[in-house]
Amino acid sequence: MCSIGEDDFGDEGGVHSMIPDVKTSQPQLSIDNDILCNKCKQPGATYKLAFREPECKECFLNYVRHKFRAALGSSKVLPKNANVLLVFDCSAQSLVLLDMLHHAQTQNTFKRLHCNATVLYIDDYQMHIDGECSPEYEKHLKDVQSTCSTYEHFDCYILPLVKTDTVNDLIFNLKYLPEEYSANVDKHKSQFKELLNCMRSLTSKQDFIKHYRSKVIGLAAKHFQCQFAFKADISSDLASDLLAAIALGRGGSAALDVALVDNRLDDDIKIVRPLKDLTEEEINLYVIAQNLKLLEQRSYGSDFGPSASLQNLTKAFVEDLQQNYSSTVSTVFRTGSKIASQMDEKSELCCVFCKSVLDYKDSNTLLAIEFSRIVSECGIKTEDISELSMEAHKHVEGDIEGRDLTKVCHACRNIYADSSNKDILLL
Amino acid sequence: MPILCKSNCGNKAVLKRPKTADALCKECFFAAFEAEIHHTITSSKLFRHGEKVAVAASGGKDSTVLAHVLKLLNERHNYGLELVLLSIDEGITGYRDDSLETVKKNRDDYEMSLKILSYEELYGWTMDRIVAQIGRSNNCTFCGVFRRQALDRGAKLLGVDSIATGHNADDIAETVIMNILRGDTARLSRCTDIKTGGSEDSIPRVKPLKYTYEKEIVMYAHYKKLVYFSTECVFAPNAYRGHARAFLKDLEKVRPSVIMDIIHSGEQLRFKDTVKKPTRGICERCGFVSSQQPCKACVLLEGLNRGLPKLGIGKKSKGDRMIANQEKEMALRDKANLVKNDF
Ligand SMILES: [Zn+2]
Ligand SMILES: [Zn+2]
Ligand SMILES: [Zn+2]
Ligand SMILES: [Zn+2]
Ligand SMILES: [Zn+2]
Repeated sequence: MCSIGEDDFGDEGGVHSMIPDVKTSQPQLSIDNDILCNKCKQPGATYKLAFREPECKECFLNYVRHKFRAALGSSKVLPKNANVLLVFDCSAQSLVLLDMLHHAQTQNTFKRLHCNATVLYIDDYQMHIDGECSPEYEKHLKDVQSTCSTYEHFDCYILPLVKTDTVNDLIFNLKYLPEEYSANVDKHKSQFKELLNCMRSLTSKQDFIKHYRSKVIGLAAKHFQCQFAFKADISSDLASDLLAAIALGRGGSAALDVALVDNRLDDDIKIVRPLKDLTEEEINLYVIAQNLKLLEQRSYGSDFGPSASLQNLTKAFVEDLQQNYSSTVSTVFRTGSKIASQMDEKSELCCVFCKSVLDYKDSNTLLAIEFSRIVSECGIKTEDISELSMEAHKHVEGDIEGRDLTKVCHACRNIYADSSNKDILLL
Repeated sequence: MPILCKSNCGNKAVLKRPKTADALCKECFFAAFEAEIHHTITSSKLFRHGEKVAVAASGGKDSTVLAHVLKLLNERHNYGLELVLLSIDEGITGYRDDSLETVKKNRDDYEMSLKILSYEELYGWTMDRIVAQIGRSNNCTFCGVFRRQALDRGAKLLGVDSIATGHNADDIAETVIMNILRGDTARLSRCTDIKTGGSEDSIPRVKPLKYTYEKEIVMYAHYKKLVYFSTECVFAPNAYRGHARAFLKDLEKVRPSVIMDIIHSGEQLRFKDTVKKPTRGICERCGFVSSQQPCKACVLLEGLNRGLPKLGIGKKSKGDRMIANQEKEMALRDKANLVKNDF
């Protein structure tokens, strides 16, 4: 029998069996108008969530909107009349976030959410397009414009994800998008592509983009004088982000990747995830209920298949769980909420690139990684193990081949090691 | 054109190290593999001079390589350890019989003494009989719980200072993922520890192969021509571990360093104060370490002996209900008997 089996039983005994979903033949949105809403007792209960009784459209919308408001309300993250940057990424969840925030702002005074929101679309679609003008890109821009124009309450802007130190010249109002936007993007784009091509693996590229994107959000939030940036991540996104962070060696900062509030950005700008408790099912139904028009979303490398990167694999793994063991996805998400962040002592002890707390001090595991690299090169000529250990120790402390990596965390050092451009993290 | 060994020793490379992707000759691979384990033992201060250490031997590749390397390093670096083999006979026909033969061969090859403890003598039950009673679905719970305690009992019997187990880097990374999947934060927070236990009442467990890749263990055993028993557990592992394992294998194909990175991640996790931590104490029935009262082994054993094998498989409250029901039934039966006797 397996010797590792002894770790496998939980405190509750052997309740360690993953419970497969019971497949119901019942459609989420039934057409039976005769059923009474469980809440308001009116006919027309056509909305059915897995763990709720059938309800009418209004009651369903109230329920999911309440989740959004509760997330913001519970922890009092948002002071009255705060400036908020809503980060739009064309996903279904970000359409829902846009719609919900719009709804919350157009309520009567009593129910209104008091904040000043600016919408920003970080355009990464352009990364997939070669050359300046492409009909599909033009169409994509038109679609985004038309979606945003339905929310006239908001000012909506676009910012291409490119290599830049300042975003001021790159941000445009979507309403008055100038002809030269795509040409302008093109100029900066090649530099960014070059940068990405310095990294060998898609894993590093995607990890780089994720943190670079955060940095850009920070710059844009500062540009609009927003203290808060709303992101539309929902529970299954966060479950997969948590597992990806673990796989990338980012356990030390994983809590902030999935928390309601992530305070890693400079200038005291906070990323907030008001949809974090929503499920995919709720998003899908909301889209139907509000008749939202879905947009095409493309994220870098997602079309290379599941085994192209750790992140793609993780995403596929979580999607598979979602299909067959959806309660396990909720468990992963809940595990994430039990992890504490190490940011309490926010200090200069942060990684220059990802802004997470440095995680290499006194780590025997990192020492073992470095020792492994060194001893492999010595082989049978290894004489003095303690000397090699000293060398490995220097590497862990950030002294690698004459470069100073003392302010780079372990996971970012993986990006560094994977890149031929040794200044990649100093952007 | 043959590829030369990365270390410039002049030999032809015969293998690519799974861990670092370096092409090495056989001798350089051995040297690196052994040096890493020595480095782990010294940098984590796993042993002290003069200690007696039990190697938990199952006959599988991990414990066979562990016994081999510990003996070799003990002599090479003068650890001054007395090494003994400790093996548990779960009583599984066709599986344990063969693997115990392998352990006995280890004993002769490495000139270590061997202590075999059986479930039969410790608990009065073999796994064969347990399976006959409960079926195949939950038996890893029994074998896991009993095994954990059996090792403690054996170690106490042998008077050792610590037990060295064959958990390798893959096992640990897999356990990190598994504990995230099932939301077990208590185990998540300690599953990466290289040394566990060791408080006044328990014998410490150490994992000298914590940073050793499973693939390299297989490679080492192969090139050293070590004899081990290679049949996997005859029962299916639990679904969480199965999923975690398959996921980890896929991740490793994309980036081999992921195994170490996951261990690192696991070590960096901190938990909110509101998350309950189990307190470790002593089972009042059997006197062995446990976070519950009575310990899991005692509950499972009670279930078997009462003919309620599912006891302890589910939640504790459910188990309590099962016992209560049974006692009510028995009381009723007794009453019925009394009535009958009255006649
Ligand atoms: Zn087993
Ligand atoms: Zn209703
Ligand atoms: Zn970093
Ligand atoms: Zn060599
Ligand atoms: Zn007990």
